[in-house]
Amino acid sequence: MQESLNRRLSFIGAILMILALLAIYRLVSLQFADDTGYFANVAWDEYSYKITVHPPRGEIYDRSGVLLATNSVKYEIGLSPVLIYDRQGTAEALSGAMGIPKEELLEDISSEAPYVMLASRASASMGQAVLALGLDGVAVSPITERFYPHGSLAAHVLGFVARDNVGYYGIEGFYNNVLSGDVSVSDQSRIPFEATGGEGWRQGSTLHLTLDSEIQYLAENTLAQAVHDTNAEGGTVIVLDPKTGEVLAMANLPTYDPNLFYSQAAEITKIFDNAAVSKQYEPGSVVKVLTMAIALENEVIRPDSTYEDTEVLEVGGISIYNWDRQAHGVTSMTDLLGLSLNVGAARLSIATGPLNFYDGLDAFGLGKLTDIDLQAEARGSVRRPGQADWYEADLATNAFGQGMAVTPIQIVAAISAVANDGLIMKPHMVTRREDADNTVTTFSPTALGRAISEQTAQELSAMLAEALTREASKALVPGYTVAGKTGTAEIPIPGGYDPEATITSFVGYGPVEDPQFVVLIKLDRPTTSRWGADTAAPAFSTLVRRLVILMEIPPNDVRVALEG
Amino acid sequence: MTQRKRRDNWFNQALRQAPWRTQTQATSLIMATVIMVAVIGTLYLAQASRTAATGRRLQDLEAQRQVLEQQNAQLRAEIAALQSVPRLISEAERQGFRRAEPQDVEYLKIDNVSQTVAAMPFAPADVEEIVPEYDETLGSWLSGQMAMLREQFDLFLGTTPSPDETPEQ
Repeated sequence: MQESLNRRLSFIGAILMILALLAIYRLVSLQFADDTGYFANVAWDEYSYKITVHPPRGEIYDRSGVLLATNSVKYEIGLSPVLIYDRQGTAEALSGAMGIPKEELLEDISSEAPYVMLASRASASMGQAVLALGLDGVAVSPITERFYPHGSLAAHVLGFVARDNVGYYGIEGFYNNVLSGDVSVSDQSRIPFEATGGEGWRQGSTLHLTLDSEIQYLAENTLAQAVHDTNAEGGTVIVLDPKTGEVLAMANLPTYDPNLFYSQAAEITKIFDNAAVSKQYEPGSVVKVLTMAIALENEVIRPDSTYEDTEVLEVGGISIYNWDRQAHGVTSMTDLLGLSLNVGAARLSIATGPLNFYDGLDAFGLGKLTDIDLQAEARGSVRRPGQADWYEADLATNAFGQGMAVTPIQIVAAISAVANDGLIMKPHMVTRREDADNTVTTFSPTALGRAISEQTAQELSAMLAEALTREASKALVPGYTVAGKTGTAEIPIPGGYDPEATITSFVGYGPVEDPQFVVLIKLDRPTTSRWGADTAAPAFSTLVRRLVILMEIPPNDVRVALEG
Repeated sequence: MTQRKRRDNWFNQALRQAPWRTQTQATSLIMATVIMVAVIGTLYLAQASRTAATGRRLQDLEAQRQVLEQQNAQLRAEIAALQSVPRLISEAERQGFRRAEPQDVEYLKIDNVSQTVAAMPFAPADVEEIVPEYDETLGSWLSGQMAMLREQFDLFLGTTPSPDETPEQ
């Protein structure tokens, strides 16, 4: 009997032992075998959560270290009604901190919704005040937002950052990948001893611009005054260093505040376009400077050459007239520039010949991207012989800036070549980039090529300066020798040109002996006068009078005395 | 009789005379195992709890860092707004300043200084405070402590030489 019982117990024990061994084997295999990824993933999903780290966006400084774009903090404030027990107390405290009526808050707290948003973008002071209250059921979440401390200053150069943390337009758009850094998305364990810091993200790089905030402010103020005085629809101003291609100031009107970009109505988002690089226009008579340069370079004329100016010139079936519809008789090249004679300019381009003329325009960069580091640069358009839409008359009209489309930055770059002894420099906005790992990249000036010889450039500079003096231009600056040219362009409309409106401009540089700036002022549809000489030229003079102080450029007599 | 059989007999005889010896041995073995497991468990728990506490502190510090970075960014933004060019100019005008006219500016020639160098109105942004790295070794710490003790001893004895008395090297 006892023996039988022992046998049975041994049998059951053996069975249990086998089951236990099987269970142990299964546990070990689940723990260590290769095909257990499924269970590991299920477990990881249970005790982990995803964190996304948006690194701080890189800051933007001007050339002197003035902060132009940085990041500020706003707060999202909301409440979960189900988690609030002291409704009266919470409503009273929130009302005091947020300035919302207590009754309104009580209504929100009594809501059956799981979450009620109180403020999506509360100010830092309000957010921190609510945070300090430490209320149960009230959530205060910080949100980083782009901030432009100078408001609308340099808005078109900077662009803006939308709420998706993506930069649009200007520097923000062009350098978005550099400024935004690397976003990190990683799984974080809820188990404290598996906790790690947010890893894998890279802070955005810091950019130092060529822009000078004081010159920018001066340029914007001068442009605003000119637009007001001439009752223009808008305008553009660019200040550039001809020796390096550094843009010292760039502005357009109308403008906007990038801090409030979202408040612009959808139909006027064209206001975000940086007209200085994106808007094409017919440049008008400023192109006569280039026509003269090309003619001099090809030895078609000399600086002291003359020609017989007539009332009209027939080319390719169209009639070319001067702006005053007068014949000026024997005219020097300097007077051709000073009086801005279309007939003379057309004679020059015809004498130069289409091949040399268009090669010359190409060397000056008209109708080509300058590759400036700003978003949405337009190419412009200069038709060439051989293209289906080129006509013989274009050779004559192109000589005085009609029948072509350029951008303001192309004109400034081209004229800067004349100021810089014939060498055309690439316009650029960024001088230095500092990465989060302290790597510093410096952007050196780049020459795009030689447009004309040094001798031609110097001869032309002297002619332009002389022309301004002879006609007692309103662009003259007392104490300084400046060179430049007005432009008055008609506005193409379907079937011809708008008889009422013009685009006026003046592009000039100085001091002629050692040019340190090129300034373009363009006014759209001024109504007080249709001529660049009456609208843009005075604005140029106003700007340069203050610009020379900011750039510490002494007047001629002082410079001669100092050098002596 | 082999030697092994002789030993077994001796062992069986000892167990017969004192059967509690077997129980004591088993109990000791179990107790030793339990104690060892308890010690290992205690050590493991102590280490795990310290790791967990450190992990929690890491999470807290991470959260604190984020808050401080946000506050820092906010302060930088506020400072930048206060230093903005339009605000500074309007504030200067409010205080009675006006822009310099060309006739107000005087130029002075200073030898060996380029005219084209403009004054830097703001400190360069890339100047950062250099934080020295912690590089103290046990040896340097000990020698520092010894030097301090020696100095205090010298002060106590009044034998510290004044700077004037420092012998020439």
